[in-house]
Amino acid sequence: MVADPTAAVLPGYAERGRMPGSRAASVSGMWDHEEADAFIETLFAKHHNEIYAYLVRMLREPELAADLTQDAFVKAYKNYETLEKAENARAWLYQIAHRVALDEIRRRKIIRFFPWSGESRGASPSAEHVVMDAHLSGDMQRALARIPERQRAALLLAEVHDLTGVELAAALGVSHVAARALLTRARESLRQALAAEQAAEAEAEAAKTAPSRSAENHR
Amino acid sequence: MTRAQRLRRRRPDHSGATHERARNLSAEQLDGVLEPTDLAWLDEHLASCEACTAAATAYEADRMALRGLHEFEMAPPRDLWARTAAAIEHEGRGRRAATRQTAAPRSLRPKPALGVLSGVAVIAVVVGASVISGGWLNSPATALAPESPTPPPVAAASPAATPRSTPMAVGAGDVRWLDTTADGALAFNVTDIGEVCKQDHQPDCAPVSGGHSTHVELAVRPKSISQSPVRNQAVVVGSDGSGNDSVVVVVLPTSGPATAPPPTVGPGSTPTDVPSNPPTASPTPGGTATSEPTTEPTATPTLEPTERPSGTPEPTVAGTLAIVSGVKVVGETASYSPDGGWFAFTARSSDGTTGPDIYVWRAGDGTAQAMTDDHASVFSSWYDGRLIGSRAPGLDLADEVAPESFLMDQRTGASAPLVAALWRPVVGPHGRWAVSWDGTVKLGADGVTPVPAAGSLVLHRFSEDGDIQANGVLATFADDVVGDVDVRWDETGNWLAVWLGDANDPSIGRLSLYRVDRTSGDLDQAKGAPQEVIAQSGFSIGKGRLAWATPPGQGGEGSRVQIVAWSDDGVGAVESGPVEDVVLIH
Repeated sequence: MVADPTAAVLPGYAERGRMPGSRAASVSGMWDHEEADAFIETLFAKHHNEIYAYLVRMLREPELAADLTQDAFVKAYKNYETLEKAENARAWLYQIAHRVALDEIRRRKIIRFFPWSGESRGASPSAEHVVMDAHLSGDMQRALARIPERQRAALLLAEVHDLTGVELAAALGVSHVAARALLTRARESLRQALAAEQAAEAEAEAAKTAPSRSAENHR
Repeated sequence: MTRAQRLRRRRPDHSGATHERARNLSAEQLDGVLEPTDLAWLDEHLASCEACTAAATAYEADRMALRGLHEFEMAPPRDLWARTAAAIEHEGRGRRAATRQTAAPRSLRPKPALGVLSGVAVIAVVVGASVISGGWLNSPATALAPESPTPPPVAAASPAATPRSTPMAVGAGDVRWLDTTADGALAFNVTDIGEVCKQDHQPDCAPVSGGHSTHVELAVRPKSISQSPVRNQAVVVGSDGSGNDSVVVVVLPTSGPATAPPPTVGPGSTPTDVPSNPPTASPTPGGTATSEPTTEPTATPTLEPTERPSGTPEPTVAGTLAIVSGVKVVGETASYSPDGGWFAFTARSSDGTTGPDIYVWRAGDGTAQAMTDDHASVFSSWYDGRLIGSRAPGLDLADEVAPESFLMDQRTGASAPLVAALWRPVVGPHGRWAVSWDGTVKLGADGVTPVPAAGSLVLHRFSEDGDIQANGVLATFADDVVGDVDVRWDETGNWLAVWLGDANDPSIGRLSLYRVDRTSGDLDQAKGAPQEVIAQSGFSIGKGRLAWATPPGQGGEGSRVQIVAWSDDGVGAVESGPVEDVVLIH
């Protein structure tokens, strides 16, 4: 039973061409649950993979990311009326997911950055981590983890999730100018963090080889 | 060109602010087109500044590395949509109540295949069950009380909040399930359901609790539980510590309000369910139950949890009868015969080298017996004191074959073929109607068990010697079943529940309830009856109630037990609070 989930549900948002608010208002301002259900189903079918991936990248914990993906769609359902234009749905969803992620980070007060590489301290890497290993070096992963979360979000949204400038601004909840500035700062932060990681790695390597050299000199 | 520009051109300014500007412009350049003047300035600066050139190169390299992440997709958990849909449904009820919408809430969840939405990753879930010897064990009742908050056991309306809500009374009866308490212990719950709320009032129904809850211990991690229709005894299919399945017989706790179910059916048979050769249970926790017979007959069921004085530190170990172990139980069709004298199920080898066979256990015996040895047969249902089996001959030679079904006397093993080429006919209690797969079968994902291929799941008239066309198809439930199917009738034969398993996630499926006209066989979807709701496998139907568990909710909230009950006044529903690892007892 392989079905195109988007095709199987009620009106796809791309075809709606009208604002949810205007539709909802037709029932005396009441919330149209049927349409909200169908709309969120469509959104989920189209975007849940990328939202989940974004949250994994932000939080590094697939299980938590799954929970937060669920939270994001539930919030989308609850805030269905706040989406003004159907064509903005993707950025709107990212905005919700972004806030969910930041809320979670703030709530925990810590960000548990498990390295994505084989240098994992204790936990075995998940399937997602293994795949990411093939694409990002360990020092890049750690560098990403070191930069502020809003900057990391900006980089991930722009470079990995292909949000346009306008979408990025919407997702981050800032102006277009502020989003660009944030992205610029993020690039510099990442560069510096990566340099620091590489320096630390070189230092560690030197420390490892120093004792053996010393031993050789003693012979 | 201004003087300042000429000066900058001749003598590049390498102050900190200038380098910062250069880096900013280099970064901005990746995200848009620079103003021509900025671009010219940057080019000039980079031409004479190695550090800033290195920074610009690094930005570009970092960007390429990040964009490399486009190359793969992360597959979310297969049940993500099921969880999300359940959470949204729950949220929707609250909103509907808040907005006082009077339209019937939408109980149907979306049509897309549940597994399709969440990617194709298949994850083998290995549950590390702690193997504890013994059967059901009562904990001291006094110890349970503070751990088990017991809100009103039945749905209660909130008159202050919803003055128009009037719970609907339904006949006496309970719903039973097993779940895991916060401390990780197993709990056996018996909840009386005397009132429910009609669907448009459903948000007003307070959740039911586990009712009477008893801590129990079990040698296996339960996957399905079938209660005898005539005794307070159940057969548990569960996985043991090695990941194989065991089928064990236990006696249900009887303390508190839980009572033995009424002897609803008793067509002249008085089954003996005390093992004639009672097993010797391992007396120490950590061991596994054995089915070694002893020569001492036991006058009372050995599996009965022992009532103990409060404060006794260790409960007495009760017996558990493992009637089969080291196998994989197949499908959801295991069930007691209507008279409670027999229990039939399907199992295959645990290593997956051979296909399924039909097993039966006579209540009271020490072990179950394999009734077939062709490794291609499955138990379907009970009919007229005998079992109906289905087999798929020739699947080693062809990808799809026409199935055949047969009637077998479980006492002698003698069998006679049914004329109709049906797969797994589930015959109602009156023997008049059956739900069957009318089509071909193929090998399932495990490579040895036949599953539906092309055809339809239909309701049809049933007779031993008529084909399905002659008998007449009354309704079609599905044309493309690819997962497991669990069809159960209530004891009256007037209600029928159909669960269609998801193709990618066998633990969840869509459950529907139908009313069947006793005379004509016509189906009716009663108002308020669930239609294609997402449900975990293993539901119960009987005594005017249908109960199932929703998939676990958000934030590790757990499942909820949904209970639909009916009377002459209609159909209503109520749900439990969050529960963990729930297994309905059917």
